Amino acid sequence: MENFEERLGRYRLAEPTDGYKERVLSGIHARRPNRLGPWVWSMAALLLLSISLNIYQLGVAGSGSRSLEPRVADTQHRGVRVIQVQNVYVPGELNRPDVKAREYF
Amino acid sequence: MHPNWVENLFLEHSRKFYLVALGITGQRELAADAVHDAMVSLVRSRSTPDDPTAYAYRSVRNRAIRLSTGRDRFVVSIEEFLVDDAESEAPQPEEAAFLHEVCQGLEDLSPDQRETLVLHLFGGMTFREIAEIREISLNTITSWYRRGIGALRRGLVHDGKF
Repeated sequence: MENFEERLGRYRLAEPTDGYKERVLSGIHARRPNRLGPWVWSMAALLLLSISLNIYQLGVAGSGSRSLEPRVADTQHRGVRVIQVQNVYVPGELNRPDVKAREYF
Repeated sequence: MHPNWVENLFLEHSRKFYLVALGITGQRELAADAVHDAMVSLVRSRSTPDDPTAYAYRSVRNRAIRLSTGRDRFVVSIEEFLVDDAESEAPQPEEAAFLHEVCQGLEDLSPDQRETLVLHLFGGMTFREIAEIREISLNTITSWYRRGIGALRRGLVHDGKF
């Protein structure tokens, strides 16, 4: 048994010479966490949020039915002048009969 | 801990990491892949382990085992790396044939016996080092080694190769 072990014990696994170290080191350097990462992601998220809000506001402003501006229509109906006012909120007075009378002539 | 701790750890233990992986995979490409993947995963981990060295060895072993999963046999190509310490050159044809038979015989051992033999016999690692890496008692490691070397020798004697 001793002879067998001694014979095998003369041999060693050589250090790999096929770029093993360089490859692992390049992997370590490539994957090292970037300290600027969180800042970059935060700024990107803020930019995205800003763009989304702008698009939303443009959509709201461009849609007539959703316009937040009061709309006034001044027309003639069978010889009677009719003025319609929309998008005007009068707190507490919406259900009063005289509101309609005031809003629609 | 210093931000370059993974790099420093690798530079200090690169050969042993490689040996540990090679003892499991038996193939240099897979062993290198296992070490590479383990080091990259350490770099990407958000926290530093309490015992980085032990953690790194465990990580290398786990990667090597994962890469070896699904392969039918322990494919031995380690004879390419064996050099005679005394002569520091490629072994003579007769010795090369003997080593080839040894590497073939390794396939018939249990994974634990094979890994222990490769690390101790060809890697030059002490039983204590292997026990610490494997987190197994020293007695178990020496037992695996003795049984492994015995089985390997018996196989070669039986085949008339030794």
